[in-house]
Amino acid sequence: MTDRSCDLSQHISELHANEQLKANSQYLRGTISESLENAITGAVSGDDSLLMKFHGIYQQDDRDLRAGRARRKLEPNYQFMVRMRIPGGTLNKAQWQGIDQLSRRFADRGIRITTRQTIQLHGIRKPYLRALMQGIRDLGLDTIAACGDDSRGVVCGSNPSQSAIHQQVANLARETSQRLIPKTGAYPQIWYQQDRPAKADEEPQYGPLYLPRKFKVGYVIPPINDIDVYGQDLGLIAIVENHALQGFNICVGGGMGQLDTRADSYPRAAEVLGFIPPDEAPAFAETVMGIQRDFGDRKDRHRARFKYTLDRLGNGWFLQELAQRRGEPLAPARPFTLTQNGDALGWQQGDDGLWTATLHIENGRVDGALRDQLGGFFQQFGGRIRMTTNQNLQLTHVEEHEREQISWRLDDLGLSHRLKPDLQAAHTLSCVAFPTCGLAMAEAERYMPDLLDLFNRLKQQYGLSQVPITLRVTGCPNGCARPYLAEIALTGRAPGLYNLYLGGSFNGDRLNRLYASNVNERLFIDLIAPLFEAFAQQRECGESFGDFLIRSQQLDCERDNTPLNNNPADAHPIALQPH
Amino acid sequence: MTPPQTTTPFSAPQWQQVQQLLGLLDQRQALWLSGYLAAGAPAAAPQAAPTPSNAVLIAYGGETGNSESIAQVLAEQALQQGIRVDVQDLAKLRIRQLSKRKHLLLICSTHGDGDPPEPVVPFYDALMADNAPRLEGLQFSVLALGDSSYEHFCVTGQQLDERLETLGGTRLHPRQECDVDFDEPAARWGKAVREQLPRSDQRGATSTITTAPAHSALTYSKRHPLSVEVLENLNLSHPQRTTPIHHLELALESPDFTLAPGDAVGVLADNPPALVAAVLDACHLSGEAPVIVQDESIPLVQALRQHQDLTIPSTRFLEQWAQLSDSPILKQQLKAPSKVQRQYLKTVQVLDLLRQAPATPDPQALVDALRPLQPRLYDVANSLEHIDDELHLNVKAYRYDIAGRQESGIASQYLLTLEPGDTVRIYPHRNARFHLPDDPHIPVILIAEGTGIAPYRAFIQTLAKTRAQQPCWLVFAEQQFEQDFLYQTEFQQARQDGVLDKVDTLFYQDQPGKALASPLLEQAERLQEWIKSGAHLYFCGDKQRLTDCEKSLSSLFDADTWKQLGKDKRLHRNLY
Repeated sequence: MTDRSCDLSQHISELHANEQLKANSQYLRGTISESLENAITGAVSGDDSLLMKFHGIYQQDDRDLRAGRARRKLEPNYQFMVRMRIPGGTLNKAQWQGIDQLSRRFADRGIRITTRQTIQLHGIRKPYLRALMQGIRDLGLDTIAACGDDSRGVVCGSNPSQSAIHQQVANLARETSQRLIPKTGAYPQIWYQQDRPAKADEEPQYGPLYLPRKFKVGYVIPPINDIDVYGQDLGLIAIVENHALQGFNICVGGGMGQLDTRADSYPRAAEVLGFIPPDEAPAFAETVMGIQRDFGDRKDRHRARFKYTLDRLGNGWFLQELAQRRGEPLAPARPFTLTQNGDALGWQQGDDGLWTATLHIENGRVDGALRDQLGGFFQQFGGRIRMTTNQNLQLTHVEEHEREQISWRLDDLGLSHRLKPDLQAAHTLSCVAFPTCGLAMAEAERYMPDLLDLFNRLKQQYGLSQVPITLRVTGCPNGCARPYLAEIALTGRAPGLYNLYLGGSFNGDRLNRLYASNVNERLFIDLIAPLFEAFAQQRECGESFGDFLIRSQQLDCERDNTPLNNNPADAHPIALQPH
Repeated sequence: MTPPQTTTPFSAPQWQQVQQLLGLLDQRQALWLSGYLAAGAPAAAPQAAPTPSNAVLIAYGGETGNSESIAQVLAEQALQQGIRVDVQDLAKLRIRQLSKRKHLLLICSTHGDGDPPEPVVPFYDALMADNAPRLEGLQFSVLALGDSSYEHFCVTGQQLDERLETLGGTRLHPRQECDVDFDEPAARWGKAVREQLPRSDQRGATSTITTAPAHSALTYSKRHPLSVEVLENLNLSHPQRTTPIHHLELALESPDFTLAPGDAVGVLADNPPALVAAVLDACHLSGEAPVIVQDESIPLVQALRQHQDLTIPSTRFLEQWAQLSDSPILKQQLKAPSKVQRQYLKTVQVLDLLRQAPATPDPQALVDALRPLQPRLYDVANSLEHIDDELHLNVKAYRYDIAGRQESGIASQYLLTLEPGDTVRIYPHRNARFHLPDDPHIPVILIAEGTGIAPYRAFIQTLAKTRAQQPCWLVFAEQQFEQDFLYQTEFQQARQDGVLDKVDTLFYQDQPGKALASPLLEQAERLQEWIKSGAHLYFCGDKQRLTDCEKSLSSLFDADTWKQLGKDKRLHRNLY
């Protein structure tokens, strides 16, 4: 018998308070409209702030100002982060220009390209939310389900060399997103001030409780694992044979988030369980999401992600449930190879003859001069735009004859160095953290320039400048920049203190492990330096730092490794992929 | 004349008597009687007419309490001399009472721009009206208070004085005009008028002072302030704001220092040390020289720091300094017509004159030439029912342009730079016309701009404590929502707790083109409902903006309705 003691088969009163909130929200309406009208506060009510996540909006405040404002008898400096839904990360030029204008009118700190290949704007004040949302609509975009307990924006690998395959897969990603998003009339009603629709069942895919937690779907096109397919709840790995898309290997149960305070929370890499034909992908994603909707834990939000459902009920159960809903069991997985999870940088020619230029954008932040440079560039640009899950910006669909002119313009506008960025910077990610993220315990994005400088000098000291190492820094353990799939990761614990994780693989198919807790900058250097020394001396040809640490068993010796959280990554089976 | 059959309430004999009486009256008397009866004369008046008319009526009017304190002192001195007196606030004096009087001593101040002080307006209007009663037989004298730094100096006193004469009164003693240092001329006038007044037989026996002030008001005064410690001085504004607004908390350890929500305190501010030093330098005087101020010998530096106004030059100062310095420029100014002279004095400050026309005066002569430093009133921002051992003030930096430079207001600068542990001298000041209605069920609409929020914070604390049922609608305006929402978290709490039924805000920088009245005009129907249900309206803050606001609101009603609100004392104004 399947254990159903914590899923939606239980009475609502038994479930987590958020489940009751969703149930009572009239399909995500809550009192958001009333909260928007309340002019004596820049915030929305606590319940509404939870519901607004489903609309792609996070309430935040400038944490640097909190204490000072409290003394001044003012509420926190409330503002909102608005995240768009851009499946596959593709935009046309007019959309970029429109977003640029909206960011200047309504946002602080420019445009941020996220690790899920979309754009978020920070610092929107409540009175301008509606105007911004309507501005986004006018660009043919929306923000639905960019956050919340639902299917988040569907990502798609951005491998520029396989243009034809990419086109097919990106279309499937868009179709999947369209299929999985909430359909509630609350969104147009609240943001576009349209009339409430008459239909009673507003959410055929979800029902009134939506999902237990977020659900991430991503498509990857080997050999580039830019999206970190093993970090997705549902990953679809394109299988290409004879230059044709045969279908997808599917992997399930990836997820980064963990809590330092709970031993039973852990990052998990997705496991490859089988293969499906290409056209089935969108419906397949809906089926898997339906299984998680019905069996996910709705009592304990920290155990609600799909990865825990799978660990609780087992892969055997899942495959059986899936076969039943799908009508047949999965075909066996096919071989594939992943080489790296960073982007292929610089100019790349696709198999359709068109060119793509990938511009490196530090932390995905497009602000100040960079926003102006890009604004100027796009005035004369005839191609399309794609954002990558490594927060970079691609200029796609460039004709051979346009290339020279574009190169010249990039050079002229001071953008050409972004085609050949510092090698390490191109393999580095960070989350937003302070000052706006409510979860951050330590700096991330704002600390990155200093850390990167330090890290590069250390690499240089050991002659490792030409060896890229994936480095990811987050302000908390929740995993926004996918830290647990990096070769080196720092996750914030307190101002200036991080947990240090080592040993992920360069292609993102192996989780790293906790190496030391509560590390400051000095200790970080002291811990990494001997490992770099050993790596420099004993490295095998082409070996990555993470692989070296595993092979040479550097991580197995007893260290200051008494984690606060019994890091279960060690104990957990790590998915190993056929190479 | 036959009694109208259908409506008369009189019996036939009564009707006869009425007819007889009316036959004796001339037209003017008949008109007066009709007004008297219409105004609600007590039915039993004919038998029980009280006869205080032999007592001298001392009537005072003003906003700062100076006129009242002069009236009280005068009354006490009169009583000691066996003169029967009756002290009344002009705010409560009905004009027809004057026609029953033989003697009137009127003490009245003038508002800065030449208007009558707010509480005096109804009396002033009635006296100026065409149908004002004749006052033959009334002997009067007027003491006019004013500030010569304003153009319309003592103008209300002048107008009342002239009008009393026009209505048939005769002057007991010529009008006396007083500048801000009124003590001496007021005393002189008091002495002179007392000599003209009749003595009663029983000396001091029939004191009929009707407005005996609360004990505390006598305990602490401008002359006898209370020194209190500063507990906190908090800048509520963004650090870059050029006119920051501070929240001050003062320790109040004197239970006899009583105040009701809506009341103010007078603050005796010190001149800034740098200004005192500059004045001493300009005069080449040492601060240690002893001088007499208020019958006390103190060092010159203390007199300049605490007692004398070092910014506004008076006409007298100009006269004296012109002589001392023998400056041709100043002497030239002296010869100019007084209007020109007054205009000139508005463009310079004391220090400008000292530097422009150098002289080394006798220290006492310097002190005597200067105006006394005036206390400034600040509305108390907390309710003693909520916290009884602290006084909170809400103070905005005041800046003004003069002589091509920007200066800071003395009092606000003084308060804004106080530090915890410093002491400040204060005394209580009642704003009798700016209190919550006695009935805790009457709705109140509180409209404020900027620091005008201060008394409302006190009101709302009282509401939270003891009047939860009182409907309350707060309207507040400032510059920017994110930086200038004074006491935001407190008002949010009050709203959440249901103490505030409605809160509307207006931030000029965020919503350009809107005015303070806008939120109310946009909800005209609701406003009309509140008014219909008996609401009182309060206006507090910048005079111009609040007056404009009231004008806009009154346009929603017919003129009589608004006038009636005023008559019913449902409009409360505290403007500056």
